[in-house]
Amino acid sequence: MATIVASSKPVTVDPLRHSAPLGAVLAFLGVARCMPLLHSSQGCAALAKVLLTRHFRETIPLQTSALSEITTILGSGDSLLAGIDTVADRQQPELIAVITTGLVDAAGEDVRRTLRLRTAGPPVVLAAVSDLGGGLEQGYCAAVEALIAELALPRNGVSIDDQVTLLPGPVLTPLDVEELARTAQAFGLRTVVLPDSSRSLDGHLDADWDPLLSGGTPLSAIAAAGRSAAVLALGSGLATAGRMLAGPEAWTVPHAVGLDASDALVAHLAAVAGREVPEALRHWRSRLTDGLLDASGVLAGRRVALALEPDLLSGVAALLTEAGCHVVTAITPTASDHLGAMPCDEVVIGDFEDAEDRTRDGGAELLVASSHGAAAARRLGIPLLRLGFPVVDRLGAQHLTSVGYRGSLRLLFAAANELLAARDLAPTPPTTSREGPC
Amino acid sequence: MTGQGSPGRTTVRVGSAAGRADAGGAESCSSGESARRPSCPLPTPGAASGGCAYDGSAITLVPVADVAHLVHGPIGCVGNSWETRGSLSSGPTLYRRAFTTAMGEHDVIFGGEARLREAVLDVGRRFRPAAVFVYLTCVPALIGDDVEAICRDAAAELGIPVVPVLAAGFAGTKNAGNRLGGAALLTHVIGTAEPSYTTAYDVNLIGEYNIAGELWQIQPLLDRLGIRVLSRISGDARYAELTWAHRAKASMVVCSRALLSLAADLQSQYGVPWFEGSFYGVRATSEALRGFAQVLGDPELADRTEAVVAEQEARVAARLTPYRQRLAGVRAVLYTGGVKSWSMVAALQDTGVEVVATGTTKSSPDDVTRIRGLLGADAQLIEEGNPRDLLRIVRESGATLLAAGGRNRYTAMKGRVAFLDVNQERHQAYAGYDGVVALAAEIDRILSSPVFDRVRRPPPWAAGTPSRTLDNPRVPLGLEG
Ligand code: SF4
Repeated sequence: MATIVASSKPVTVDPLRHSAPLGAVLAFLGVARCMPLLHSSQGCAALAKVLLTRHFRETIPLQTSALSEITTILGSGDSLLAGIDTVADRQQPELIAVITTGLVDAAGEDVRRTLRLRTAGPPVVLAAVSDLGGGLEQGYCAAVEALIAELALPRNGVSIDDQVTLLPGPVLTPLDVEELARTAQAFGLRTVVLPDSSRSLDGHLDADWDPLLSGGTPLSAIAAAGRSAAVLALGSGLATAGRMLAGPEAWTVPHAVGLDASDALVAHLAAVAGREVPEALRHWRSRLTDGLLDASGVLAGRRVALALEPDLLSGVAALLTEAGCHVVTAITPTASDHLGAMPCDEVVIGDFEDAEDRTRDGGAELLVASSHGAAAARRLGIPLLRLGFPVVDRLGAQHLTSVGYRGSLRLLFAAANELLAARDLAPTPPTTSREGPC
Repeated sequence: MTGQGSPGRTTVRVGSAAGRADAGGAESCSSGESARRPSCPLPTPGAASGGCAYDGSAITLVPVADVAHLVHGPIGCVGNSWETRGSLSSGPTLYRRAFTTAMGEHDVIFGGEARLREAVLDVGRRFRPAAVFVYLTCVPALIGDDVEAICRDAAAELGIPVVPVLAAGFAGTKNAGNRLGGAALLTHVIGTAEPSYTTAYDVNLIGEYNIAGELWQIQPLLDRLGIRVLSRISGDARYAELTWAHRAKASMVVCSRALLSLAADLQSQYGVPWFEGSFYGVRATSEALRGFAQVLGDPELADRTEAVVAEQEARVAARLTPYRQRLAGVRAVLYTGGVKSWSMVAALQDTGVEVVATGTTKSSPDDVTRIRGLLGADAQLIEEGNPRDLLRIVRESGATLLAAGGRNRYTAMKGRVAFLDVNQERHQAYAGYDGVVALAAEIDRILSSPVFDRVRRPPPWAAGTPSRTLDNPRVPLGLEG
């Protein structure tokens, strides 16, 4: 059990937290032919786009209402409506996602009222978020809730027996999302995945260039999301979204990382499907258990530090603890209920400066964090296992999986290999002097 | 290149204080002015691209290495942009750390001044910076936080300079932000201290950001001429050297239209003459070196410069010859804005590449004239290049290389075209004579990749496509045989 500590510095140094609007954009990029539009000054969109582009190595569709000082003060509604019309015309999206920011929040705009003035054009959903509060997780989950509220058909008793709705959380990589869907499909279940980045942000080459991403959850699938036999959410912030679709029946867990959490996911799917666990999955489980044994020599007793988004933080802590590591410090940008149950002494809501200080104090031998942790790891002289967002100084961010038996095994080996690569295994000769030539 | 017809060659453009109006002209589209002046187009909602004024001010000032750069605003402003720029430092690394007040709802209701004050004091005490630069962003500008007053009080309390940079994002474009960053230096930093000694050959470099170490390609050339860089504004700079920029005998504005106004103000207030130039390409580099001699008005320096130029041009010509042969016939589309558009055109031409189209966003009429001089009257000029247009232009012009900023890297990849990064995030330095050779080598290396052909080939099971092997795989220079 962990105590939650909030860092109490008057300044944030090397932030771990991302803005909520960024999280909302991330969610909307997993919806088919969706164009996200930040209701902001143009810099917010430009900077977010650069960051997403660097991480995913894709051209990212993202536009802005391009507010100036004057339009912010005099009323930004016209700019928003003009921006919507322009992207509807230029990119021909099937859905436009409006994401508010700190600027319109501070200006006190009634965006919902503005949107009601529209009479034609593609549907618009609104994620009413702000970079004045919350982080990536809050923005992402607000976007998913907005999609459900606007586009999912109401639950009215009709349910499609062999269909499950999967809600992947903000920390799942595109290949994690695919792993989650495949795991459910292995039970013969049909899946609705919302949002589905597995074919939109996964990094693939299309025949032609299009300003919108290919892949993503089709609007028809979102409509049917509430008609499934079961709803599974992999992300603690998605509890509300799950409830919107399935009431108290929705199954929400913070993660499916490590043996125990993967077992829980598989057992739940088996119960939903009313079927035995398929052989292929059982075999993957045996690979993970074998991998845990193989890695135990490297990882047992090792001291690790984590600086990650909440769901990923507890997932990675679970896996590495199963492998015998000690989590000496865990830093996360925003609070979450499940953090108290983590297998470490304390969880700090803080930034990379906190992470660096506590990693040093805890004598950690490995830091698990995004590319922003590289400078701290270098100063500390310990390896960095890159995970989370953003990973911009290595290729293949989409492939950094952690979900299920297969994802856990990848992560486990990656952690062990970082330590193997860093450790100088040769013993140091003693410095005692000796007679004669050396 | 020496010996080849160089239609774009012009004598160095020497500025004057009277040129202030011209210098400021295209770039004054900032706070207040933008709405009133028809020449300052507002960004189009739904079709905007490019950063904000805050971003621009950070590009200009964050390279100052021993300063703590504190962003007063919500988490998004710095959260999305830290560690994205390629300015290097030969010493302190404090500038790489991201400090922010990370404003919340509470600050909007009660004002962000108290939080800012505490943040400045905390950073000043714990990190012991040479100075703190405080960057204003949209939200605190909207709610009217008095950043200047906070900075004044905190400076008194800390005993170090605390400089307000008033370039809230919504005040204008990235270019306007560059200019406002320069204005912050002029108002609060330049002229606040004196160098321990001066020489007749002290100069400022303005708008050189030491991307990937470019300053270090230039500085040895200046050393050979006996020119001392008194103030770097701002690549690899330390705070102290900014304070005495007014004692330079000349300023060179390096590839930055937005910072011409800073140079012009240094002339009108302190009598420092200036000229504008670039270190991209052989011709531009030689021009720039001659520019110092011309502006410093020293015939003996001019003679020395001619000797160095002749020697360097001969040396670089010899080194470029094999690349020029290999790159002959390679067509490139360049998409970068401002002054860099013409200087990069010249640099690419020096490597033997044929530039078939170039971007002119943010370029002044003067830049465009220079481009036309380099490319000929029927060169294709790209006003606003969205990814789709860029790929179309590449295809239609038969180009095999897109040279642009990092944001278009994946435009090129999706179009299966080789890509050369020419903006601030890159890891290669292309300045000075050696930089042109590095540029040629990089283009040669990039074009040697067989993947662009390979990924175009349909898979063997696709109907009606005979399988074939790749024709003429390229091998980069130095790796053949
Ligand atoms: S436009 Fe304003 S709020 Fe957005 S990044 Fe720039 S300064 Fe920050």
